[in-house]
Amino acid sequence: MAVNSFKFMPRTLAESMKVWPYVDTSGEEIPWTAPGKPIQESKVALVSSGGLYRKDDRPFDLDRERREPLWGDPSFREIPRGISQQDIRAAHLHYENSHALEDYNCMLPLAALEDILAEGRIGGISEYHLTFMGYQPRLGTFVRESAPGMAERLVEMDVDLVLLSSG
Amino acid sequence: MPFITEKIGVPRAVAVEFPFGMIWGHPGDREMQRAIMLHMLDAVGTIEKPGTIIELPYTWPEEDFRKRDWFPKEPTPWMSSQDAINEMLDFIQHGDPLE
Repeated sequence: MAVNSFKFMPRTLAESMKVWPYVDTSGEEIPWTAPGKPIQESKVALVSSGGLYRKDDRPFDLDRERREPLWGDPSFREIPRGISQQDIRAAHLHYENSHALEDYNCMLPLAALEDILAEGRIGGISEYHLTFMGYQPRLGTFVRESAPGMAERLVEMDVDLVLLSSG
Repeated sequence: MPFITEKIGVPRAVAVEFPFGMIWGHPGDREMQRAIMLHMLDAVGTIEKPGTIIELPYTWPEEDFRKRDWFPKEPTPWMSSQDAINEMLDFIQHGDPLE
């Protein structure tokens, strides 16, 4: 790999990531779904782990994480298409939030998605995009409830293609 | 983070060496956001082998790397005390990620 996964991490975090107890998928086949229709005809949604939320929505619960450092809020939020910068907030203790508060597109690039639609490269944009807070050491609730909940919302919105973005 | 992407068996991915919080580029850099998105859409159309990771050639400018401005100002809770670090080390060694 030419891309260095650990370049921007403090040493303690990088070392922990190298020995992290990842869910063991080594004995499983990698899942695969072929695109259902041409990309130019596909309705696209973004899903980001960056902890963004609407200012009138419930923030991700950082106080509980401060009290219980191995807990991360497993819930997810919806961000409407075309949301303005002043209506976006960020709640994530593992990256500096100020850049996203200056321009949320550096975490959730909705403006670029609109450009690409205008160029005719995709067929449509979902009315909502989904966000969650990506610090999830214990993944149980996220895997059993949030991920299926997000998938259900994306299906309800007739989304054909989802671009997932890390924080 | 292609290290994790590879480990957990993500079907198709695009990797870029940008910092946390600016993973699509600097604030206001709409051209970079657009370029990365086009790479992702291209990957959807071209990747045929499950587990393929396409690495993008973009690099974070050295002068910006020296700013180290992606680190949160508030200490990360699990690194904020020795007790919390010990709890995390115990989880790393013995924990169940699906708990």
